[in-house]
Amino acid sequence: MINFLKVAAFSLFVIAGFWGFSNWGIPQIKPEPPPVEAKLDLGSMTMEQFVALGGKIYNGKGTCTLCHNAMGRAPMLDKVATISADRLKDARYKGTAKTVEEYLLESLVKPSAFVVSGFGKSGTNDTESPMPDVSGGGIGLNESELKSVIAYLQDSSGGEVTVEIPKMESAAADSGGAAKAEEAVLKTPEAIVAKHACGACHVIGNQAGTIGPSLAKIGATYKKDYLRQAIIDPDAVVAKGYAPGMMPKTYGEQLKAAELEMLVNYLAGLKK
Amino acid sequence: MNSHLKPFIAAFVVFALVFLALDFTIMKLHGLTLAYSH
Amino acid sequence: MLTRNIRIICGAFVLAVSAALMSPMIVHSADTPAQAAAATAPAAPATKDAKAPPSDAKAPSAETKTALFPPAPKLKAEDYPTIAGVNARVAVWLIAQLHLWFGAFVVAVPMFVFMIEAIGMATRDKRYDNMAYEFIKVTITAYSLTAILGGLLCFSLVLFYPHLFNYLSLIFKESMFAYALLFFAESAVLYIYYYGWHWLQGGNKKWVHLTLGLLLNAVGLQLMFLANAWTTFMMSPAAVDASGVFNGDTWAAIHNYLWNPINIHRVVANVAYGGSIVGAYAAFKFLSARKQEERAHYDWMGYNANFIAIAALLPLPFAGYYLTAEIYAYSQQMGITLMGGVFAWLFIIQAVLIGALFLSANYYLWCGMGRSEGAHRYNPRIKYIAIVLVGAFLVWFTPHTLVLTNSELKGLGGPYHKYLGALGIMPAKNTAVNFLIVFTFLSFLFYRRANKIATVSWAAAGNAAQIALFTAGLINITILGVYYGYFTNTVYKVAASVPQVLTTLVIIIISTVIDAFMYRGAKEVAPLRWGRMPDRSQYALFLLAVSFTWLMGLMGYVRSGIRQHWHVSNIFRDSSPDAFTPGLGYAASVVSVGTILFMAMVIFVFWLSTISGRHPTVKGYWKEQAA
Repeated sequence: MINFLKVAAFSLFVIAGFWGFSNWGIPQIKPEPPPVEAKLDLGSMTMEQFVALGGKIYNGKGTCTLCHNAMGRAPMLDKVATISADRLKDARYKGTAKTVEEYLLESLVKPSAFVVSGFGKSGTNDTESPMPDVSGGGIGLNESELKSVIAYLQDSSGGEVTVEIPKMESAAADSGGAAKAEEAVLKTPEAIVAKHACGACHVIGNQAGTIGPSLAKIGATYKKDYLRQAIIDPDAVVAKGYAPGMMPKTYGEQLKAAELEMLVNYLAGLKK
Repeated sequence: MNSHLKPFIAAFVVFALVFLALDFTIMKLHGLTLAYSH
Repeated sequence: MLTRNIRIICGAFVLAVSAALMSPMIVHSADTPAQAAAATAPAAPATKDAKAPPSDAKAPSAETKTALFPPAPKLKAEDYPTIAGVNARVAVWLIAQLHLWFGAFVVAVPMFVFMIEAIGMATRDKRYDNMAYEFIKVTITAYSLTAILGGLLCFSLVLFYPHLFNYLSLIFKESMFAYALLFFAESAVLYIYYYGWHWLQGGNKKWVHLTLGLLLNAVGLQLMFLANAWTTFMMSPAAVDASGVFNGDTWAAIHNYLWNPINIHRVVANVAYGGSIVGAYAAFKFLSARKQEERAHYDWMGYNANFIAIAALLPLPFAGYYLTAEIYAYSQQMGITLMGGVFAWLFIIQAVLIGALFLSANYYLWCGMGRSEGAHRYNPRIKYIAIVLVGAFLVWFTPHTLVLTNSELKGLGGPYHKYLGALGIMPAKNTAVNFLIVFTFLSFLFYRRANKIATVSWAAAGNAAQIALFTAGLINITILGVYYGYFTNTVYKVAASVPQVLTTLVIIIISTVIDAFMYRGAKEVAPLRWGRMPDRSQYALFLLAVSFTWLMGLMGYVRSGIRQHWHVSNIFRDSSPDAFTPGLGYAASVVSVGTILFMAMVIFVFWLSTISGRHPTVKGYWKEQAA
C-alpha cells in the first residue's frame, strides 16, 4: 500500500511539474478566436479607413504576416507597389495583369502566376508557389477584403492607392468567394437545365439521372400548369414510384420568372 | 596506446569517407551541392 | 487431436483472409442512394443555395448510377446539441484522448509480445514465454477499456457533433462498417491467443500460437490505420471539392496526404509507449515484491520494457519530423502555424518532455549497470554521457523568438537573445536530438559490454574502430548542423537534416555489428544479478510512463488544434460555441486531468491482473468442507 501511495504521489508531482511549466514557465499566447463575419459599411468609409481595414486583415484574418516576414519564407512586401511594376516587365511573368493593382490581386488569388526567385516550392524550380489562394478555404477573403488588402499594400509601400472602395456591402464570406452580383437572365432552356443540374436526377437532354421521373417525353403527358407546379412545389404531386421530399423546393426562388416560363415551355415541348 | 592509434586513424579515414559519400549522395538527391553555392 | 485443431484454426484463418479480401469489393461500390444526400440537406440549416445535386457536371453525366453527396453543411452555434453541465468539447477531447492512450497500448503490446515469444522459441528460454504471457494478461482488460472508450467516443460524437459525424460517416461508411466488423476478428484472435497460451505449447502448436500473434498484430494495425484515415481526413481532406462534396472515391479519402505519415509515427510511438507502460507495471511489481526471485523476475521485465521503449524511442523523433515535413508540404500555412505560429511554444514543452524521457531511460540504464561488478570500470565515463545529454537537452529546450514586453524588447535589442537565440532554430535542434540519440545508444552499448571481456584477437582494433566511428559520425552531424544551418540558405538547411539522421542510423547499425562480432564468445566478468537495483531506478520507469502519457496528450492537443476553427480543414467550419483554439495553459490542464484519469484506469488494469491469480483457502464456508 505504501508503495502505491509513493508511486501515486510521485506521478502526481511529475504531472504537476509539467502542468506548472506549461502555465507559468512559458508565455501564454492566446490563439486568435475563430473569425466572425463583420458587416462592413463600405458606403460611408473613407479611403484611410479602407486602407486601415486592409491593414487589419493583413495582420489578422489574412494571416499574411505568418510567412511575409523577416524569416525568409516569403518575399517582403514593404516595397511591393514599386517592385510590382518591374515584375510586370519581367520575362518570366506569364500572368494576365496589366497594372500594379491587377498584379497584386493576381498574386493573392493565383500566387503561382509569378513566383519570386527562390521562393517556389522545392523541386518545382520556382514555378509553383507555396502560398494558398487567399480567397478560398482557410483564409477566405471576399472581394472587398481583397481590395482593402491591395489598398493597404499600395499605401504602405509608398505607392498610389488605385483601388476603388466597392459600392456594395460585402456578403458574409462564409460562402468563400466574391459576393454574388445580380446575374443576367439565362438565355436558353438548355442553359437553365445545365445550371440547375436537372440531369443529375432526371433523364433530360443527353443526361440520364435515375432519381426522378424521366423528362424526355414529359410534354406528351403533362400540361404547362402541371409542369410549372412540379418545378416550384415538387411535393404537391409526387410521381408514382418516386419518393417525396427528394426534389429541391427552392427552384421557385432561384429561377427568375422569365427563366421559369422558358423552362416550362421547353418541357411542354418535349413530346417525342 | 599505439595498438589503438593506427587502427583508429585507418577506421576514422574510412568512416569519414563513408559519411562524406552519404552527405554528397543525399544532397545530390535534393538537387544540391555539398558546398553551398547560389 | 492435433491435426483436428490445426484444421479448425486453418479454417478460421482462411475465413478471415477471405473476409479481408472481400472488403475492397465493399469499399469500391459506388452505388449510393440519393436519399442520403436529400436526407442530410434538410438537416443542415437553410443555406443560400440548398440544392442537393452538385452543379459540377462531371459526376452525374458520366455514369448511369449517380452517387450524390451533399456539400459540407454550414452550421450555426445552435446546431450543436448540449447536455446541461457538460462541456461538449472537453468531454470529446478527454474521451478521445483516453481512447487513444488505451488504443496505443493494446496495439503496441502484441507487437513486442510477438517478438518476445519468437525470441523465447528461438532460445528455448521459458522466461521469455512467461513474460510475453504476463504482458498479454495485462492487455486483456486494457482491451475492454479501449472498446468501452471507443463506444463512448462514438456516442459523444453522435450526441454533440451530429452533423460532423453524419458528414464523415457518409464518406467513410464502408470503412466504419468494416472497422466495427473487424472487432470480431480482433476479439476472436486475442482471446484464443490469450486463453490458449498454455494449451498451444510445444512443437507445431507453438508455431500456430505464434501465427495467431501475427494475426493479432495484423488486425490491430488494420484497425488503427482505418481510424487514422478518419482523423487525417479532417486535417488534410482528399476526394472532396472546395465545398465538401465527396466524389465517391473512398480509397482516395482514406489515402489522404497525412495518412501514411501518421501511420508510421503512430506505429513507432505506440511501441515506445507500450514499452513504457509495461515498464511501469514491472517497476511497481518490483517495488512490491517480497521474495528475491520475484524481484529478479520484475527487474528483468523492467529491463526488457525499457529496452523496447528506448529501441522505439530512437527513431521516433524522425517519424515526428517526417510527419511535420509532410504537414508543411501539404499546407505551408498549417506547417507554419504548427511550428512558427501559435503552437511554437508547445514544442518547447515537448522538448522538456522528450528530454525527461531520454534522461530517465538513460538513468535507468546507468542504474542497471550496478547489476554486476564488471560495470564498475565504465562508471567514470557515465558522467560525460550525462553532461552531453543535459547539454543537448538544454539546446533543444532553448526557444528562438521570445515573447517580450516593449521595455524588454528595447533592452534586448530585438526578440531574440544575442547568443542563445541561434540555438532556437531547427539546425541546432536537429543536431541536439541526434546527439541525444547517439549518446543514449552509447549508454546502451556500455550497459551491454559492462559485464563482458572480449576474447577475440582484434578486440583493440575493434574498439579503435568503434571510437573512430562515433568520432567521425559526431563530427559529421555537427558540420551538417552548423555549416548548413547557419552559413547557407533555407533549402540547404532543410536538406541537411536528412544526412544528419542517416549518420545517426549508420553509427547505430555499424556499431551494433562490430560489437556483435567483437563479443562473440566473450568472458563474463562477474555474474549478472537480476534484482540488484536501487528503488530509485524504478522511479525512472514511472517518470518514463507518466511523461510519455502526458506527451501523447499534448501531441493529441496539437494535432487537433492545428485545424483551429475547422472540423475538416478549409471545408467544414466549426461553428460550435467551443470552436476557439485553447491556449497552452488550458490544454495543459485538460491533458493533466486526462493523464490522472488514465493512470487511475491503468492501475485498475494492473490490479485486476493480480487478483485473478489469488486463490486463498477459505475454511468452513462450503458445505463439502464441513463434512
